[in-house]
Amino acid sequence: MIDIRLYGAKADGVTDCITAISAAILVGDIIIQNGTFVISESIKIPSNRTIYGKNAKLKMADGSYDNAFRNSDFDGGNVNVKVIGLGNFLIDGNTVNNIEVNPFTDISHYTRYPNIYGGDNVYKYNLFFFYNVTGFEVSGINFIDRPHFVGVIAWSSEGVIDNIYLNYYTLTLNQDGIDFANGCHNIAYGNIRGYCGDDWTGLGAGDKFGFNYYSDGWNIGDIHDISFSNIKVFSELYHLYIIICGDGNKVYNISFDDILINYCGGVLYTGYTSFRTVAPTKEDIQNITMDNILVKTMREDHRAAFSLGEDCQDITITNFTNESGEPDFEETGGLDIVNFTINGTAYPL
Amino acid sequence: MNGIGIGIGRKRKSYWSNPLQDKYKSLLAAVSQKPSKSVQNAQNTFMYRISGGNSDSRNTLAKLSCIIPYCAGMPLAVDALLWWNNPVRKATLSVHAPDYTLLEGFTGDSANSAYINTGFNPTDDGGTLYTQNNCSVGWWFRNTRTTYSSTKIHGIAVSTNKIYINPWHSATKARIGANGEYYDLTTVNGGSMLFTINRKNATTINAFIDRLLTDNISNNSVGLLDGDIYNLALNNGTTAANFTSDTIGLFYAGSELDQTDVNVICDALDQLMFDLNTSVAVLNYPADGTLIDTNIWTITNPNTTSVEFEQNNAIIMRSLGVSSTADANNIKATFDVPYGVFIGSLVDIYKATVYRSLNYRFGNLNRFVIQRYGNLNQNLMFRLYNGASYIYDLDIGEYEFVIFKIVYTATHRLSFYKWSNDAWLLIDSYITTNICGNVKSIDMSSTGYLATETHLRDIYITKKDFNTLTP
Repeated sequence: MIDIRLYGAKADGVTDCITAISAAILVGDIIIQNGTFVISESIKIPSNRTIYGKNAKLKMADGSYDNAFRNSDFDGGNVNVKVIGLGNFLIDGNTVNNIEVNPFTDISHYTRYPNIYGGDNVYKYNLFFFYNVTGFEVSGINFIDRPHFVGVIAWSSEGVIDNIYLNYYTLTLNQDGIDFANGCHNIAYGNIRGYCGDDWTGLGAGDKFGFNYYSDGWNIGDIHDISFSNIKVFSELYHLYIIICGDGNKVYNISFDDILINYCGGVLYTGYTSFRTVAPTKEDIQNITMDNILVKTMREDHRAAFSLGEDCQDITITNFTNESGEPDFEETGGLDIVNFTINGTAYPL
Repeated sequence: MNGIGIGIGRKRKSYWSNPLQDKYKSLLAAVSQKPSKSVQNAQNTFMYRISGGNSDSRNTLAKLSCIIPYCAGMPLAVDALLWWNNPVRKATLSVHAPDYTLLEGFTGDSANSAYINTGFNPTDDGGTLYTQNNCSVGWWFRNTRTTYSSTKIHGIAVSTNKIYINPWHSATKARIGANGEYYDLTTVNGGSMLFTINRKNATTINAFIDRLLTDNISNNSVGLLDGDIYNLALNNGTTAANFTSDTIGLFYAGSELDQTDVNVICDALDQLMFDLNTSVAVLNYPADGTLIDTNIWTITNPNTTSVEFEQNNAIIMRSLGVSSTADANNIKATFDVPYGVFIGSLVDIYKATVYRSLNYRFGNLNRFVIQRYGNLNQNLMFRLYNGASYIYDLDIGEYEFVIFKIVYTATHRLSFYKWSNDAWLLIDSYITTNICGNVKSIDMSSTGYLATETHLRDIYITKKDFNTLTP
């Protein structure tokens, strides 16, 4: 692997290293190590390349709202793209790039990100973005601060997200964790913990899931065969998982196991109807299992642990413990919910 | 022919880091078994430093009537007793001799009356240097005492004429005595330390711990002691008494040693200790892989429901928040070093109201730390704690990530460096005095109600200072 310093990168926390890193990664796998490296633009990872990080911080420059890294070819696609931390590797969105808002009352940030819904540059406002990648890994990374999501993965498969710590200094609206959009499948996501200002993970298969790469067909594709395991949520203010589905897309074969939630606004929510045009049928959201879920505390002013706003079927929750005193289940009414059980009890009651 | 060509016409680089000292040549001529070249180099540097090769160009050696660096790496005990200022003289050992340990010096045996007679007598050996006053005496020693005693002293006491030190007389104080009186010094907690007493004039005695003048004792002096000064015991005029099991590494006596001289001796001793030691690590733990080595680390975790430790290319301390205001958990490795260099890579991601500390402990509460605590926008801080309160507070200018080096010297200068742009950058130094001793453990601890994580890897502890070592 190539030490990026050989290409002129400086671990001084000041110098813009994007040119050096971009040159190095065209030659081979790179390692970012021993210091703080600043970049003003995203590292664009070609196929069959790995970024390693150890004892280092990769920090976005002041005023940069680009990804820290993304794959290099959205239209043609990439294969075998990896970013692997080998210990004490941080990717820092830079707190000065955040805006300080109260997510419950202040929506001023929408004026800051004018393309947030549907614009060409929407994907940049996440710390990383993968689109059209087959074979990927993101592991061993401490993500700190981001304008919006930590990561968005769309139209990608055969991937691993492992050993990730999420955190922020400045709370902003829509500060999700890692979200999966249309066309994602066969992905293992595990050993994740930390803080989120908004939803921990979204599964977005509606036609208006606004953080995708904007191109033809971006909003078509199922999400399926994704496993989530060993999750420790220190705090997230909204939902642990949201499912957005509609417009003919499907979300199915999803498993969630071994999840400890210290504080949240809910475990699973399916009611963001504004992100799709045509509502899903119960066959569109199905075959979802959740096992060994412990909720210690929940927001009193928010939803129940499981809050349904769309039709669905075959959702099985086992070994669920709710210590929060907040309700386990709620639904908007009039839904077609079939075979939804919590610890063996069918809901709605 | 190639070999000849290389040798001819090229000036050979000198082996010595500093100019070879005449005094050192004399010393080397007197030893019965010469040390290795690298040790000779370190010893010569020590001689160079105290002879004027220092920032003040102070020739402190000229003011010394006797200096015996027992710890300076002589292969044989008999050579470790030589007076470096005058190698025709040497100290002598009692019948039941103290044990000699390379790089440490001589360890007493209080149960078997072991001690060293330095052979230095202020009246005889000081000559005209010593008028009524001016006698300066210093010791660098280590102890591992866990109890207090009034009988653990070094020096001489003849009638009312006394000059001695008791490093741990009571729970928090050392005792220094001279001319029939004794005085309690400020807080001392054992470990290693350099004491210097300077009987400045008829009414004032200066007492230094390491570099710091800790006391100016007013005393109406009536006379000088008359007899050989002992180490590891007290010379009561006719016999040795009050034996100690301390380890003594350096003794010196001179006249009119002032603050500059004390600084020169401390600096030279600090460098000698780092130069003499090899690269053998006290602790070398990269934390690669996924399993914590339980032969090194002990996890003490009273709050098992909310705190956990794992290793994933770093030791990760994770807490969901603890309900106690005290340190509720830690992961700990133990060792015992009187001085050293402490390197590591730390990630500590900030959350308000939570305290996390990476502690290097002298004892339970006395420690130096890299710490985060509950103020907004708080950088990582480097602190020295005396009990529950910190007495030194350094903003190291980093939020959540630092590759650091802490240098803790034999005379308790504490320096903090961070790795910046491929070099160690000194942030600040602090002279410790009342918080000094052997560093005995490293641990991480967490206090506070919010969940947090701290990561540590590339942990390296050594008694040698590597200026260019990359974590």
